[in-house]
Amino acid sequence: MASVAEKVKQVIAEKLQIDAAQVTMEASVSDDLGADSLEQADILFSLEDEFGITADDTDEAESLKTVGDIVKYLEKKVAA
Amino acid sequence: MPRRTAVTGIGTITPLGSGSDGFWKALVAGTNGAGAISRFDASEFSVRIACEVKGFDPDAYIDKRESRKMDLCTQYGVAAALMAWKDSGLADRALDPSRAGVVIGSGIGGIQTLEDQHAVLMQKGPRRVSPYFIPMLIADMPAGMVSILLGLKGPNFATVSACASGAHAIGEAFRAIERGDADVVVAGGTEAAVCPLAAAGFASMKALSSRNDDPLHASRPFDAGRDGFVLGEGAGIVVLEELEHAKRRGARIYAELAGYGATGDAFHMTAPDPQGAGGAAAMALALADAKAAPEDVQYLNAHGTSTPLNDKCETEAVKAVFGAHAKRGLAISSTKSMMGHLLGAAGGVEFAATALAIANSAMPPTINYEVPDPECDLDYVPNQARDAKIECALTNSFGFGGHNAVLALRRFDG
Repeated sequence: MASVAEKVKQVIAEKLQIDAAQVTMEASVSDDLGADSLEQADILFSLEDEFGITADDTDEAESLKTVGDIVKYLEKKVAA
Repeated sequence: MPRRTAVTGIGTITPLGSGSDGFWKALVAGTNGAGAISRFDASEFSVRIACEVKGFDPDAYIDKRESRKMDLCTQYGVAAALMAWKDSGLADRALDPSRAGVVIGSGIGGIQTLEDQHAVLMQKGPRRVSPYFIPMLIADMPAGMVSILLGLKGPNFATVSACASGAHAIGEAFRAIERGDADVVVAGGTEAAVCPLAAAGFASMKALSSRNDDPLHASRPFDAGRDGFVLGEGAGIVVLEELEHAKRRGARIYAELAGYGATGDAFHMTAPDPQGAGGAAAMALALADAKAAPEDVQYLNAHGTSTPLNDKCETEAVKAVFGAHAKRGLAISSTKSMMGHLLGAAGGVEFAATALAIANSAMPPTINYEVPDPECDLDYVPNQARDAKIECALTNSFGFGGHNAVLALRRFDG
């Protein structure tokens, strides 16, 4: 499932209009990539669409900080 | 000493062209902006024509990360405002940001976004509605985004009065400068309503011309064969500046904004007062505010929508205010004949057209004027632009709801 990471990076890069190379697994979406709260919600909704999942476990979804956190979360959801 | 207001910057996005020079050249050339609707498939619609803005590229004005969070209505407004700002020369000047405001009106705001997100709600459910839906929808966002991009921290709001929104924005900005609340205000109107929901709604009202097979002759203000307006879109934004502020920095001054009159018809939801009493009262107030007599006015940029009722009632109103001068010395044109009805942006682009008319000593024509209507018997500058020195001009804007806003401009020779 390397494709989950690739897809996540691609969506984040597109939404924030930044170079995909900046979207590392360690990068914090807000602190390092500069996404504000609306951009973070927009990214999450796009990923829901992309992977056909629903991030309805709000507490867990909202605790995601880094790109790696999001990838791990999505891999778990997709596998479930 | 009362504080006076100069027009020092002009920016437009219109179906005829953009900017200040490009827009003006298209106006005096009598360019026709109408055609078949290309924005969406209108084949099932009773009205299939509009004046669309062609080739607009938001990336030319706005960072992509920001522009994708804006409805087209906000994009047009921001693009025109940035153009006007550059045109004013203020971009290169030190400015007290707390003394610079933004007032931009829109009749409807982000209606395409409303339509898109409603479809998302119906098809995918409430969780998928975009977090940008509300910021893209609300009609005050053009003013908000312009203040953010230019760093302007003075008075900031939108006006909503249907097709008078842009004129009210300029009028209220003028008052803010006059009162001393601001020295500079970026003001005007923006609209992007060439979308299925809006087109269907206006068509249901029977407000639109149904000359689907002949779009180039559809918008024909004051002509006996007029049958409704043609939907237009775009933005018209100006930089208004306190006169001494403008003179100190040696700014180019297109014209002076000298008067503003605002009234309500208190008559009907969509129909104008049959005698045009509300519009007439607004014109009289604007003249008095500018300390101008009717005989001082050479040019009137009419609301002139090309609907049977508006053009007749507006003609009545002009006669009531101008008396004998209405037929002897006053030239009237409707630039909607060329670019259609830009709704909430109309007051902005038509104010820009009027300021440019004064600055360039020429009157844009009313095109498609072929068959005189006995009830519209004034000089409408038919089909050909006219060279004329203009000392004083009015521009009329009337909106559904009975809102009337009239602005008076004067030549400024220093």
